[in-house]
Amino acid sequence: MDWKAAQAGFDEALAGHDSPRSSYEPLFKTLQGFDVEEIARREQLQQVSLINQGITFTVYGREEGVERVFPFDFVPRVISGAEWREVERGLMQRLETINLFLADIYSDQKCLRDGVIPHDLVFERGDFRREIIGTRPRHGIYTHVVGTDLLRGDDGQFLVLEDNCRCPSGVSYVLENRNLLSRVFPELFSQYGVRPVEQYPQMLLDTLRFTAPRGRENPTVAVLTPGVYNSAYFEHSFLAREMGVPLVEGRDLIVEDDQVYMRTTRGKQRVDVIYRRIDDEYIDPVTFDPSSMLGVPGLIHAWQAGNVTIANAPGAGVADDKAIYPWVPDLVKYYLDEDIQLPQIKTWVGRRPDEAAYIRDHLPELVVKLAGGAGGYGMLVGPTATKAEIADFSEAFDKDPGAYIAQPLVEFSSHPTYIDGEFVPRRVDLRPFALCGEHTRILPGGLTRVALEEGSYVVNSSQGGGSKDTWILADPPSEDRA
Amino acid sequence: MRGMLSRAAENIYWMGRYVERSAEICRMLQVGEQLTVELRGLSPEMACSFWRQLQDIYPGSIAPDISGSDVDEVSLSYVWCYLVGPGNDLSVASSIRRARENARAVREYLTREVFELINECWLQLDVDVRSAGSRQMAPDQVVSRVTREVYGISGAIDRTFIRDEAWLFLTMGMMFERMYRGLLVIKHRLPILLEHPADIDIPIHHARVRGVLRTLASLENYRRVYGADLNPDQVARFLVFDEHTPHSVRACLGRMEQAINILEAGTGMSEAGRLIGRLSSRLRFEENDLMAIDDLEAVCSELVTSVTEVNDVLSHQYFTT
Repeated sequence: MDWKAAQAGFDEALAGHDSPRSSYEPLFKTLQGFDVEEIARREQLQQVSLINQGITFTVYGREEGVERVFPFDFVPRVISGAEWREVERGLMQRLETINLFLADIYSDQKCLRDGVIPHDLVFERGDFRREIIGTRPRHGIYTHVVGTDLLRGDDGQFLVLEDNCRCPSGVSYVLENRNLLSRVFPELFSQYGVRPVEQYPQMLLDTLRFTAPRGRENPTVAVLTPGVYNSAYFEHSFLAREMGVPLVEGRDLIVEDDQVYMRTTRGKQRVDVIYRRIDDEYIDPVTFDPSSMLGVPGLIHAWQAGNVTIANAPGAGVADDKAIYPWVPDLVKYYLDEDIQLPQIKTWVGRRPDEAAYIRDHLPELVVKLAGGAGGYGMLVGPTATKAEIADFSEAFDKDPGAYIAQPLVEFSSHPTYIDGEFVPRRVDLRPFALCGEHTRILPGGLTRVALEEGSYVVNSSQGGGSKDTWILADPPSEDRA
Repeated sequence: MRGMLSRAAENIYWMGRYVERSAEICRMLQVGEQLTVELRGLSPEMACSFWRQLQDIYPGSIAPDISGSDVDEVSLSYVWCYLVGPGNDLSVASSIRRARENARAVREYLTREVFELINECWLQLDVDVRSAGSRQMAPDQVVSRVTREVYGISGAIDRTFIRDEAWLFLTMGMMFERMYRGLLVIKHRLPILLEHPADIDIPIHHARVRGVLRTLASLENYRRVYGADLNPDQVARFLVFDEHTPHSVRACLGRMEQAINILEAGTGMSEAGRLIGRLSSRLRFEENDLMAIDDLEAVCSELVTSVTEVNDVLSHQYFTT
């Protein structure tokens, strides 16, 4: 079977036109041993397994949403141990900075007074929560679970595309993809020492328990979901199941005397740690959106009283706002006196008049995003957009340029992906998951999302993306790790 | 025993009810089809009345709009309606769909095996529902398949579930549905068979008694206890009071009683526990008194009222805290 190399950008697996990189050689050899019929048989098995297990996400658009299987490509992505150590170091530095930044802006606001980042930039963010200024969460941890989206530049260097500090999703697919691949294509693992990912639920539970309010010896942890119609409901249910904790909805919880309880068959039971998968604005109608039917009245007050931990903490979302992103290298320098280890993408900020003008003049060359947007919505990919799309976008941009940021089109790296009987290059990104508890730990793996359409840059599951298993290779015993 | 979320307990109780209900409806449809074959040439009106009585056993269900007396047409219309009938909340498809919705809402309490079997059952049935308009599928095959799948689900529950609160509520849901629906079957199908008119047609009479036993998955069990003697009074006693056959009212109530006793061990007896215990005692000790009333329909009506109260009290006590 032929392998087609990427026409542009970094090819993750092929060094030249058709010669695999050394880390991919055994994989290529194994895959060459399969014929098209055998692959089709296994792909069918894979698909049936995903459907029967209900490994789905919900696509909005109809009243109750439609459940879809997240497409899975069986060709795994291979990352060497040495490369991964660089990623780990960079992510740990970033996470430490983000937590220091959040602790600062919700207390002394020293970084604002020192002019490291414009104060109005922070205060204008929709996700900056004035209501929580002065509240210090347990151990000063605001963002316990972070998923940082990475790309590889043309030279193969990982670049940070964005952080997700609120409710990053996708880790359930990391675990299920591994499970699936090892059952359906066990041969692929034969030549590799792949670091396991199955420990994530235990890591998450440890992290959550560590941050429980003081004096709670055997804390009760619960996962808070908006409900079965949420797009990530499968993941909420998966994590609750894997951690062995209840999956609660807002209506299951009540707050009395600033303590949070869940309604059980044996009466009220106190909840100590809530791993929430509901956005800030819906989490407590008393403090935030009063029309929210999903939240728990009084929850924020209970949290401020130190009686319950909310992970990630309310207000953490401001740190992943796309408008804050351009300042992260400065924040690393300010808080840690270090240079940023994982580089970022050059970013123009619409709130600066000169940069807004630049963006307006260069729309066809830029990727322009809503600073507070997510999921690929409200985004223009200039180089692939039609004139009409650019004109429409330009109109929206002019109404509120401060709401946007822009970046050059960074050519994503590509990875061989099996489509219609061929191994063809498709663009990929990577979302590793970091946990911040007693220690900061990075899951050795991550969600590789792949744009399945030829030429597409959109990897989001809601818009035609799929996923791959991501292998972080264990270092061989002889490797010098100094 | 640890408590569980009230909402989850309710979901899992209803999951049990829907799983059980789907199996009961399937069996009813299979019995109806066989009776139709047996009675078509002998008493087509009796075959039609079997189908038309389904609304009494499934109150609130939507019967097909068919006024003719062609027995095959009536039979087919009812099978479609109670298998995949659009808008019929008491069809097999609707029951499996709801079982799956409830399962999805409490997946963290289920084993992977149980969830996957329910999910698979629904996915296949969903395909059948979509193709129902063209009537290309063979309903009897779908009924057989779903019946096997539901037995698979029950087996997975039995073999893989930890015996915790979730299992107790699941068991109570399944037993309640079986008991409640069984009582309605007995109430609407058996009394007429207890009458002994002079011109009774014995083969037809026996076919109908066998039908009742088969509807409640009890024909073979009855024969093992009483042989081939299809005495309707004996059949009624067997289906209501027998301790050992799994579809008798007493056996179902006994399992509910066991479940509630475990659930409430050490916490003092609740209203639900008292109700179940009282009802269970009646079935244990008052068989002859109840049968002496000589009005099976009235006895069944009274029992239906009592078990409905059990459901309401359970719901109030555990699901709406």
